Amino acid sequence: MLAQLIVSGLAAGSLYGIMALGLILIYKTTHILNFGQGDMAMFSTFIALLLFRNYGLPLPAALGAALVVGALLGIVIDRGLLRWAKNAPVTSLFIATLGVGMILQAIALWMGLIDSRPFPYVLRGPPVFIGDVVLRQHDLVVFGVALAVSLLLFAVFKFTKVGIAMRATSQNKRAAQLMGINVGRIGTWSWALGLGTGAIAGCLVAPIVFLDLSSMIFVMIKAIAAAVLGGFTSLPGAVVGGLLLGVIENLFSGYMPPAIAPLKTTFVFTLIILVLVFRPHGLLGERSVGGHG
Amino acid sequence: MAERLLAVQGLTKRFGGLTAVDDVSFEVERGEIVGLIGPNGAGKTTVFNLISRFFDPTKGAIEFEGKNLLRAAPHEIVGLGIARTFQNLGLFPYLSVRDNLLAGRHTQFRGSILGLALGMGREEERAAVTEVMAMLDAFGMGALAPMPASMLPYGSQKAVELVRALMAKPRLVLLDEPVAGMNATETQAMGQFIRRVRDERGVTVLLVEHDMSLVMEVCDRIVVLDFGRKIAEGTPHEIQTNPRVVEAYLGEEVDRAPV
Amino acid sequence: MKRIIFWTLVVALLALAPLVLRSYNLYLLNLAAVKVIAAVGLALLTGFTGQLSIGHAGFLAIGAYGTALLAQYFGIPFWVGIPLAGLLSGLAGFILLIPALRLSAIYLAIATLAFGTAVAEALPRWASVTGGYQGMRVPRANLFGLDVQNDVAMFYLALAMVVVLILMARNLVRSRVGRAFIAIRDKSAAAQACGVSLARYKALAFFVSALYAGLAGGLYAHVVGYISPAEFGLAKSIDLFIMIALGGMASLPGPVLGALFLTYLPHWLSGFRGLQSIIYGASLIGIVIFMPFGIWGFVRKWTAPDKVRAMPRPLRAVVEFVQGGASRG
Ligand SMILES: Nc1ncnc2c1ncn2[C@@H]1O[C@H](COP(=O)(O)OP(=O)(O)OP(=O)(O)O)[C@@H](O)[C@H]1O
Ligand SMILES: [Mg+2]
Repeated sequence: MLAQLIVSGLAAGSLYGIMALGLILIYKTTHILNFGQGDMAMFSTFIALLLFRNYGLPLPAALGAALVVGALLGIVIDRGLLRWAKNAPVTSLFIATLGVGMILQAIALWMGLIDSRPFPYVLRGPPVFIGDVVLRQHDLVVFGVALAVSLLLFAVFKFTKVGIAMRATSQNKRAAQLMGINVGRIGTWSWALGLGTGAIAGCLVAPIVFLDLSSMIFVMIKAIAAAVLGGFTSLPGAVVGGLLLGVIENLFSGYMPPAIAPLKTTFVFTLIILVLVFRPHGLLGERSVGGHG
Repeated sequence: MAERLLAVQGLTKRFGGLTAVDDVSFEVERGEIVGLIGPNGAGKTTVFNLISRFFDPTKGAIEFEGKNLLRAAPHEIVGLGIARTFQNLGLFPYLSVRDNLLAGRHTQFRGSILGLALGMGREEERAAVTEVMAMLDAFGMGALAPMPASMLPYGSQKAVELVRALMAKPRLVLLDEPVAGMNATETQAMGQFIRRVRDERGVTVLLVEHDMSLVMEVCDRIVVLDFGRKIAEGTPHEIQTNPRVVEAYLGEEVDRAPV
Repeated sequence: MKRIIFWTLVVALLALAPLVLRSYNLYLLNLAAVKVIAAVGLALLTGFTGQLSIGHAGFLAIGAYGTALLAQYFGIPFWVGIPLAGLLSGLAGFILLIPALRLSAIYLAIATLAFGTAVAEALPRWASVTGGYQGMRVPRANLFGLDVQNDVAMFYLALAMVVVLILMARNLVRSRVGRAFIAIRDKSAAAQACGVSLARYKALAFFVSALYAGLAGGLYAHVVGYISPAEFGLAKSIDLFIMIALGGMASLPGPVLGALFLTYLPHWLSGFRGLQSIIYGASLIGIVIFMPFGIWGFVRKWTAPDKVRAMPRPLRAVVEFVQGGASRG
């Protein structure tokens, strides 16, 4: 029972973690909390579904397309929209991202996403047994993708020029600028990577919960919670926060009496508020250094 | 013999590994204008922030009129009789000058909040406005009253901030670089202004300032900090001729030569 | 004086509305009143005090369910039940005080999101009491034995509440309280140096804002006569936020305009699915980029151009606060 709860928790947590990675990629360099992340992920996922169902694209190609759409969306949002709002304060940009989300919802609606739609699994088959723990094949896919995305991002940040520039920008924008880093371009990269990651999360979540206009928003809220747990600026923190969140949630609903068990989100959020109050920078977040006056 | 107003004893503040204020002691007597000077990063603003209770000191004691300030919360300091201005402007940019001054006498209002919601604060508010206008007029700034603070030139904002500090009827004001960014005429005027505050209203002044001509002109006594330590204390004349002070400022003077 | 006459006339004209308006139009106005009250409350918190909340539907829910449950299980009449539930909601506002004192703006926004989510999740729980996901019928409003559960009676209740609550908000905003709120929003250190207790005034802002939302919720329960958890979700919180952002959140006319806009727009656009989202979305973006003062700021630009610069830009203040540590370096 315990092992089963933990393993399923980890599977759900991986999804939160991937979504949270997308949020943090954007937040780290631009300081914008992308409140449209859920809608944007929904949109990319929906395009994949359209290509697969209506245009007969093979599933892997359709999923790849979602990734590309996500990245392009990120580029369009950053270049086409946020550029214009250069003088607007960052917090109000968070409102603009909400606006973008609403527009994407309307477009998806017009393109035919009217009710809940089933979404194909990448791997579908009999469940796998490890001891007495049962795993859906999809869970294995989720674990694999979470690991791959984490490693890939780690590699990008560690070894590529763009990644290093992103790290520099997130630590100190002005210094990065002085070092000749094009901070604007880094912002675009972050949006592309962030929404690409969001699309991946969307395509993994959709088979489980089906796809409708708002099915990703709940994942986004969990991802925000995961990101907070992890400190909101740390990529490993997001993954750890996501996994922790998934496990805690599962243990709570597994062990609590049925009357209380459905309040898992409440429980998780109470926990998060407590974490915030006692550790305002999250579990793995670092206090931003040297910024004050 | 003058009476002791503020006493700072062995004050120390560390930020992580950095000791911003290091075992500083000094006193301010009622009616004095005392300068607190030192090169950039010497810890002057930190001393103000400690007196204002924005930070807890790592060590040391602060007494005001014999009361232990460390027992007070930041918002209680002004009620005890200490008002202040800020190095990078503490005016509320979207409030008018008049409203800024009204905010400055926040602690003088008595009406209950429920009463205010029910519209019973009008009388008190009117009286307060009259008082604010009188104060502005006394300093020749009546015309500024309706202007949003952020629309004033920098120099006027500094002056308004000082007047706002006076609205709380303090016995001590802490002024953090009141003439930074001002030209010579404005500096002159501010110097006279500070004098008037002390002479006419009997308010004691603790002044942080980089403009040496102003400091030397208005201060009765000067305390010098360098790297968080007190390195000298004395009359303007004593300070000007103190070799340690000259040394601390050497190299500094080059890039902050007065305009 | 001219203003007093003007507003008295406006209220008097509104009071005559039931003579000319059909029941459905009155019902719409009643819904608008609910939104106006909640939006004014949120503006006091977010626009004036700079405390972002995206969980305000939670307070509406407390007010609505509080009123309904008090009537259902204790037989408390609506004119006691609504204020009582409002008060309860106000007290619940203190829950957010601790995060508000400890956290910077973005984290506080997340804490409010958490609060809203928690309430939305808790509502369907005690299904035997609250009717679960199906919701519950609100006992009919009854005034000393007279059944007043109709659109006209509710219209007068709504009008009275709107007038009283806006006047109270105005009184507060024009007193030391309003200055303290703005001081906290714009420069919290200077506010403290002026003697403003952050704890006390943030607590007050949360209390008043939650009280208004609770009262709005109570009114809503009786205007609609039926409540269910789905109406108090994240979408409602975001709607409220859009109202104040759109109207101009650091003013009192702003949230009123925003609330009216968000009541009538969906109504006019009800035939065109999706168009409403597009308009909301586009106006949010437009507000951010072109009209940081909201609709009210835009109006003022024409009617009182000399005063526009004086109008606060709360979001900027919020962000400077957020960025204090994060990215100034
Ligand atoms: N909140 C803080 N956190 C960390 N370090 C701080 C903080 N406030 C001040 N310091 C550091 O303490 C030292 C003293 O700073 P302070 O602002 O008191 O200097 P100052 O004498 O006022 O300088 P200036 O003349 O430039 O205003 C500086 O090295 C500064 O970086
Ligand atoms: Mg300083």
